[in-house]
Formats: sequence, structure tokens, C-alpha cells
Amino acid sequence: MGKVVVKTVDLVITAVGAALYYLAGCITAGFLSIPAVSWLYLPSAIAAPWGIWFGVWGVLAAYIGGVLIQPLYGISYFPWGIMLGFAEIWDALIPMILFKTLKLDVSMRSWKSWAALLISSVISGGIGGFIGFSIYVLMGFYTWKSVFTWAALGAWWASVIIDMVPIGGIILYTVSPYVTKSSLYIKGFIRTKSTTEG
Amino acid sequence: MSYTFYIKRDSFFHKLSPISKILTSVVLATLPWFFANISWSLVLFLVTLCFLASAKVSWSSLRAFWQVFMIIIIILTLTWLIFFRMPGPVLIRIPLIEIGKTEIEYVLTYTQLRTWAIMVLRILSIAMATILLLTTTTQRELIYGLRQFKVPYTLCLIIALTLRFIPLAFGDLETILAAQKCRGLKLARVNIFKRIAHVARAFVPLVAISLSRVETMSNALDARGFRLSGKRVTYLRVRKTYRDYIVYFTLASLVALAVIVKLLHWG
Repeated sequence: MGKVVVKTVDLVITAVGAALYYLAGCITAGFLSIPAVSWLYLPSAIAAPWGIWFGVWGVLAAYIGGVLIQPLYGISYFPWGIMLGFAEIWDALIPMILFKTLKLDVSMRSWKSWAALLISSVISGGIGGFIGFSIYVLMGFYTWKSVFTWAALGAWWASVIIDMVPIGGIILYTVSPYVTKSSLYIKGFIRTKSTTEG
Repeated sequence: MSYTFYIKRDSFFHKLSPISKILTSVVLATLPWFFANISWSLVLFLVTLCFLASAKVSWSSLRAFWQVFMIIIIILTLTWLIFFRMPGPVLIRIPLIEIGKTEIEYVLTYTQLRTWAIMVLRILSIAMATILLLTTTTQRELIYGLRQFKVPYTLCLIIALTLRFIPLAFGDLETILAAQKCRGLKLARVNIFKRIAHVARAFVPLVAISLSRVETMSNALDARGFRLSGKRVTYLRVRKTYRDYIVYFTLASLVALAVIVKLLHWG
């Protein structure tokens, strides 16, 4: 692995990803019946492609976008929003790890890629949901002893799977052929001197 | 659909330095967690409301937040009053159904009701503290304030760019949806799968447009000689006035009061 390179384009990629994440969060806020209980959580459909295409910068985009959307759900930036951002990063982190480690086709032309996206949505929905609900319990929104909490946690999990696989998959299928040919694409987890020169 | 919450007013709070505004929001969002007492939680909620009133932000302009507040109250009610049982003096006991020899009943205790009231006041206080910051601080001031709090420049730049891109992304999405509607797309009265497909169709071009913007923006930054390292300067110069010192004194008094209340086991 070569020396890590941070280029202006990486910062802009992160900002655009976070903006799209925020936008998706705004749309989702309109579909909510109660916080975290929604069949639609669009940000995960943005986070997955960003993590797969842009590695660590995609994960950072998910974190920043995740923090910025919190007031839309009635949660303050400090300290809860900053903490809840860590529940949002998994939608970018897990697909990134799976796709980059297994060197899967990001254009989603093989069934292995779809299977990896499905598995990553199950894992990221579970981890993110558990961290998110732990913070909600700390806040006093929910209690672990309530059946209602587990039903809501299940809904969080399901919403990530429902959105990340079809919508994230379609975005990857359609846009990946162009992204992989452009200079924006990061082959590894982060842009390095060797990958930039290559 | 609105992407910024800033409301332009000529108020005491608007004239504060960004540092004071961020500090006020942080203190008001943190203090409610000090108290497990209805009276003190109510006092803090009223103090936060006073701050909001001093910002001259009308209730009608906060319409977007009311729906969220209602949702928060519903969820807290379901959690603390319906689906969770706490020991304590029983206030209400309603028999629901009988299955064999087991009777399922709804029991509401005083502890449950008290906890629910504290939680509602607490969550609404921190939500109001965030609204106070968002409605009185421009994006530029927010970034300036973060820099003053020694947040790394790279992170501040990313946040600033994100806030700049949000309205652009909203504009792009509106154009895409308008184009889809012109072609006869109906979003209402369609089943869940069709709705997901429609949303995906809107997001594919949105992502493509946004990625083309990434190249334009980064080239523009590079062309202007932007570098990640080096000394930073800003056009925005904010000086602290007597207003800021009044706020610092008020916040310090609140924190001191909270510590005293906690030490004396009053709250």
C-alpha cells in the first residue's frame, strides 16, 4: 500500500455524499410514523454506494450526513447527534469492507455482488440499529425491557435492508460503470499514491 | 421543502457571536440531563423557551418542528406509559383481557407518570435548544464558530461544502421530479414496491448529477490555488459585545445552579 493521499476531490466527494444523505433523510422524515419506525430509510441507499466507491470518505460522508439530519428527528447535535452519527456509518462501512476485501464487482453484474449487498445490509442494519437504540435508551426514548423497543429495532433493521438492497443496488448498477472509469473512484479503502498514479 | 432553518430577525440572540450561540445551545441541551425532578426540568424548559422568545422566532415559522414534537411525545407516551411498567403507587388499573387463569391488565403507576413527564420536558428542552441554534445562526457563522472551537479546518470545510451542496441537491431533485411528472408519473396511490422503484429512479440521475458536480467543484477549488495545509484567514470578523457577556453570565449561573441543586440533592 502506498502513501495515503488526501486530495481536494476527496473532501468534495465527502461533502456531496453528506448532502445527498441529508436530502434522503429529509425525504424519509416525511415517511416516519414514529422515529426509527419506517419502511423507508433512504440514506442507507446513498451510504452504501458512497462507501463502495469512495471508501473511507464515503464512511465520513455517512457520519456527517447522519449528524446533520438529527434535528429533523427532534434530536440535538450535542451530545446525541454526534453519538448517533456512529450508528449511521455502518451502512457505508460494512458494504465497503465486504466489497473491497472480496474484490467484488461494484457494477452489480454478478449475483455475488447482490448477495454481498444483502449480507452487508443485514449486518449494518443490525449493528447500526443496536447502537442507535442503545443511544435512544440512554436518551430515555425507549427502554430495553419494552416489547415496543424490540419492534422498533426490527423496523429499523428492515428499513435498512428494504432500501439498501433495491435502491442502493440500482444506483450501483446504473452509475458504477461511469464512476469506476472516472478519477473519482477509489479502488482501495482510501486513496493512496500508488492507486492515484495507477 | 426547506433546507435551512435560519430565520432573519433583529433580535438580541441574533446579534450574539457564533461562539455564544453554540455555547448556549450546548449548555441548554446538556443541563436537562442533570435533573431527575419535574420542577427543575420544567424550570429549564421555561428558560429554554425564554431564550427562544428572545430570538423573536415566531411559532408559525417553527411549523416544521411541531410534527417532530408530536412524534416525540407519542413515542415517549408509548414507551413509558403503555409498554413499560415501573413499581410504585398505582394510579390507574384497567383489566384488559383474560386468557385462562391469567388476567392481563393495564397499570399506570406514579413513578411511570413522573418519569414520562421528566422525559417529555427533557427531550423538548434539548430539541428547543437545537432549534434556537439553527434558527439564529447562518451556515457561515456556524462554521466560523466551529473554527473558534478548534474543530479541524478540513472537517469545517467539508461541513461548509455540505451545507452549500444541500440546496443544490434539493434543486436537482425538484427538477428530476418535475421532469418525471411531466412524463406522466404518478407518485400517489401506488403500492410500496412501485414507490421504491420511483424513488430509485429519481435518485439515480440525482447521484449522477451530483458526481459531475464533484469534479467541477474540486477543479474550481484547485484552480483557485486551494491547499489543505497553510495558514487560514476569514472575511468574517465577529467581536464579542456586552450581549455575549450577559449570555456567558446567565449560562455560568445556570451551570452553577445545576451543580448546587445536584450537590444538595434537590433535583
